[in-house]
Amino acid sequence: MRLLRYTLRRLLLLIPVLLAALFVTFFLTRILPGNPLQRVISPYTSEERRAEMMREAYLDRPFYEQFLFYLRDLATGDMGTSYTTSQPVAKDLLERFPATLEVVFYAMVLAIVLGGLIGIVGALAKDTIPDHVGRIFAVLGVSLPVFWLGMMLLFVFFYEWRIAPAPMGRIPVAMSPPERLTGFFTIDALLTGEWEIFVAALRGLMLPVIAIAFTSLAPIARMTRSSMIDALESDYVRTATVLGLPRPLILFQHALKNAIVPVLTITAAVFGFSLGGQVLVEYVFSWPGLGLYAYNAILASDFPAIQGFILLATTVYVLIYLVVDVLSAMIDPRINY
Amino acid sequence: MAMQSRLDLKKGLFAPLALLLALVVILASCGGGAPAAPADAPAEEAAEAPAEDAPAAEEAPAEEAPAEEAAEGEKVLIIAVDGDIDTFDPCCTVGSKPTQTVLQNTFDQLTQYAIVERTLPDGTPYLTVDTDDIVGMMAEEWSMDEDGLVTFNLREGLTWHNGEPVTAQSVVDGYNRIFEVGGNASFLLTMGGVNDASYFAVVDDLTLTMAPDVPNNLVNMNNVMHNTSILAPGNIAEYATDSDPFATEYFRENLAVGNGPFLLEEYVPGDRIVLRANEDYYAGPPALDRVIMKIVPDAQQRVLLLQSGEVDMILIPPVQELDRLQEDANINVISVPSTQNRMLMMNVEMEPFNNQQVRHAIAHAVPYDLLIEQVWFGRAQPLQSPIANGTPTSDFSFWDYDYDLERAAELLAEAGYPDGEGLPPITLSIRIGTQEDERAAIIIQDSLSQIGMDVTIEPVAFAAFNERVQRKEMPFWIDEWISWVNDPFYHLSWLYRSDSPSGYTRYNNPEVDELIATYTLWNGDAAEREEASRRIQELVVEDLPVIYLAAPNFNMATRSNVSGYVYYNDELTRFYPMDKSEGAASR
Repeated sequence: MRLLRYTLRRLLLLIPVLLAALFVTFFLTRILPGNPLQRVISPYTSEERRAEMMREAYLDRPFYEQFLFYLRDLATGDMGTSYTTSQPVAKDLLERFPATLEVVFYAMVLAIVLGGLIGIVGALAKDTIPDHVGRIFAVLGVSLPVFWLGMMLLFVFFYEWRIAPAPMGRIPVAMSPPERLTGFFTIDALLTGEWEIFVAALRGLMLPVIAIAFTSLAPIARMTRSSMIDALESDYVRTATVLGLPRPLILFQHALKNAIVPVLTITAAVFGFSLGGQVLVEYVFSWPGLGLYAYNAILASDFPAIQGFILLATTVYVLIYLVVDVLSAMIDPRINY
Repeated sequence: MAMQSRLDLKKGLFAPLALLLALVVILASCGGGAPAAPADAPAEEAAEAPAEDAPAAEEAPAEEAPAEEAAEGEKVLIIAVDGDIDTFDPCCTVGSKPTQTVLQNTFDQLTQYAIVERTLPDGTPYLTVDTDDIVGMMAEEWSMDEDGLVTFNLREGLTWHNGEPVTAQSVVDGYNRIFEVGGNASFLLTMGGVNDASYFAVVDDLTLTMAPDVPNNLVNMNNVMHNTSILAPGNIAEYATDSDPFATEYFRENLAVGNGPFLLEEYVPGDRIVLRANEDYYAGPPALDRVIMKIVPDAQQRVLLLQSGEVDMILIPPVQELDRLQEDANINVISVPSTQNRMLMMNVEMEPFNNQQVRHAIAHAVPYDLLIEQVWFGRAQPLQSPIANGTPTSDFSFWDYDYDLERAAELLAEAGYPDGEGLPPITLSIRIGTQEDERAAIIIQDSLSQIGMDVTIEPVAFAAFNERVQRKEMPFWIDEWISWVNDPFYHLSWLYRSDSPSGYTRYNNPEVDELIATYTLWNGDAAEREEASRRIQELVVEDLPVIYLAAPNFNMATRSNVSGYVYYNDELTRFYPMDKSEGAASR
């Protein structure tokens, strides 16, 4: 019950956070040079038409008025129309968000599993060769640029060995996307029984997921290792050991459970980080996701698209932190809100 | 003191690695693994099955058939493109090549250029268009009389893809939308002396006329582009609203019903655009059953995908890759001299470029041969006039700015900046991500530093870049221009008329203005018009608001089993003449 109230309170907090994020984005995009109409104005466009377009987009108004207009439209669910795609921003985001989320989701699962494993092994076998190797593995991950890693994976697994599919998006071009239920191709394909699409989607995900997971597992591994070491050296583990409890029980019931809360927190941070890496991965793998969309929007000073993206990214970020906090509270009853 | 445990998990060290490897292997084998995974390679399916010459007869009217159900033996051309759709309205396209390509292939215009075979400088034959020879398209025949009245005789039985018949009246209604919406197309027609739909008249069901203010041929050349695609009146009415009688909102987001050789079958934003053959096309169904335009943002990946056979065609491959691609027996490289101007632009009202001698000095300090060699790897032609070789009346004889650093230094001293002393800070702006311009800028920077001109290179994001250029506030930058109409006055009036919206250098020479105004739409002696064009070239080269770096070739590459590519000077691909044969599709 207390947890529920806490969750609601945190959700309410989302509103001022979003407003603040929007305001900052709004301000930043408008002090940047460049005008979004550049994208839709050709040299042929007459002066009158230009002025009319500026008026229609409220771009002739002062900054604060533009902001209020935007908020008014937003309240009715209208996020504006993108200048780069001519489509409503809400539609664009909805279209591309699942593509990005699918990669990030699987990558996070992989990063947590691998990072956790490396961390636990490192803690249990502290300062031995496995620990060092694990650490090198993690350091490599954090220091390899995701762009470069993506290219290398492609080069080896697609161009040389031909065991990965071509970097041509989520599924081969000869296939049509599955019927849209969740937007996750793997899930949609399973739900509609499209086995072939499921396999194709999974194969398409393989390299992008590895690239993102590998570059984001280092913080997880490091945090798992250090908090696991702390836990293993703690009084309660020593007590449990002296009491002669079975080793696996000590490790998983006592040590890991205590060690996992900081790992959860760092996972949330890593999640945000991997969204950033996603831009580059989408570029290399021709992935029709949000990262590329935002990147193009920024180059084009496409204000509505940038704002829409920030709005969505902020919401996701806040929600992730909320989930992590709630999970932490459920795992560790000492955490009090 | 810590309880170090070296338990069995030691072995677990390799667990992550093993897991990773296992995942890769499992997923790889799932898909059938082998290089010829059928799911991935429609290209090969097509190649393996016997080619069908007339698929029209057997093909079921596959209205909404999804691409994955591609029948065996279908010819599918996959082309990797760099960008996405920006709008679907033919009136108002701006920069997106995929948009323009979709429109060009889904819409016919009244007339078109005739296709001819020419030879490249190295003797290779290639297909292109003769811009002096305009032939019928929707119009079976067209003619222009002495008063400049153009008559179009429409083909019988033409329809739009929704079955709506094409009549003289519906064509005039389509032009009415063009003028009422006021996009590029209306500008182009107005340029040719046709100012609104009242210049068109219906003679009978299949005959219409167009009466420009001044008899001229420019209007006919401006009337063959994708911008002058005509929307079906019934289609417009369907989506028109009281506040938007021409449905501009709707057609910006959705492709209108076309009448060309292809139809838009599927559009997945950010991912792919799929065109399907129009089996009822008046000139017979296209040889290709489908064209898939797959968005691949990274140029390097596009090259690799072509090499591996995943795609059949790429446009504008990085020029440094072309030699390597050409050595590949499975790949055909087409490198066509174009009329593109790559230019070093100077704002003639801004210091120090307001000084003609400074402009001349810079022109002498540009190592033109080196640029062609190191920026375009030899795949560019010299350019020494505003009118490129290949456009009528091109004349390089007025150019006397050889690469000569001593002369450059002399001129700079005469201009009052000996060894560059007293020069304001100079910034050379280029668009972010334009590799060729980056390389050119570095070479120019190096060369100018030798005469004492210190230049900072500034890459700018395109929105900011275009805004500054279009406001005519950019001082010194590299730009490119290709005129879609191969007429000297069309080209000159864009760049050198003082009141042109694209007169980005603020160049203003009353004599040039007057000559352009007089001869753009010209009904008199052709030789006189040619003479005027030469005079303008002489004046512009002397005033030198622009230094011509080179005319880079237009480059594209296909798998060697792809044939029929025709180079148009708007550089948009027409898929109708193209075909794809079996063989050579192996990776």
